[in-house]
Amino acid sequence: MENKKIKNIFHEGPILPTFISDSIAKHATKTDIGGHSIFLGQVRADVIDEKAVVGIEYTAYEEMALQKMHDIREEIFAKYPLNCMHIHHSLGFVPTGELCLFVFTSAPHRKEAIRACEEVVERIKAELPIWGKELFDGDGYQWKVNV
Amino acid sequence: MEIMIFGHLTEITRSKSIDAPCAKNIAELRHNLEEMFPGLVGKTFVIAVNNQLETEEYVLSQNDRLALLPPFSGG
Repeated sequence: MENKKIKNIFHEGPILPTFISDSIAKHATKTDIGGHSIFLGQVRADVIDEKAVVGIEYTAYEEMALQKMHDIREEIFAKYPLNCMHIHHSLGFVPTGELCLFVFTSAPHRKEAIRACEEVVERIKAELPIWGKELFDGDGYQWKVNV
Repeated sequence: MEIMIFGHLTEITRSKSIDAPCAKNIAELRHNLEEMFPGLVGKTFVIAVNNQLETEEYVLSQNDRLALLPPFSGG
């Protein structure tokens, strides 16, 4: 059973690959899992009006985001037979090429893990009050728009 | 009524928190805010009440936690 306590999903700065590999390794003891699905969001070096994005500064309405993520988590667990689900999202500055979102779902069978992971990613982008500010090389910025 | 402001809307209000006149519902609060900050007119934003998105008719109470939220862009 999933813990009902509201979990913190926020990390200051980029999510490190070593954190992700450690998280995968921790599942070796959970032998009823048959498939994992992982989504990693990476900051892209877009070029806008000849200015290159060097990173994204993330802010959030944390209290509401954590409550909403808790609700989404409950709904996903009710919908899919998952063993576990882990969500991590950056706050603060994340340079281009580094990771800002880590969604990790595990289930006895692959299809449930894959479907749940995709649905969680889409719902995070659409429903959590988080904002990205794309900072340009030199100076200037623009507020990120999700498509 | 104290209202928290997020994202690019802070550039219009020039503050992360503002004090607005009491309003009976969200529609009236939205109207009051647009009078205080004309830059908000035509901008897309929603108003959260106690961490939930509510309709324009939602009746406000003195102790509600209010927040102005522009379109989300996480991930």
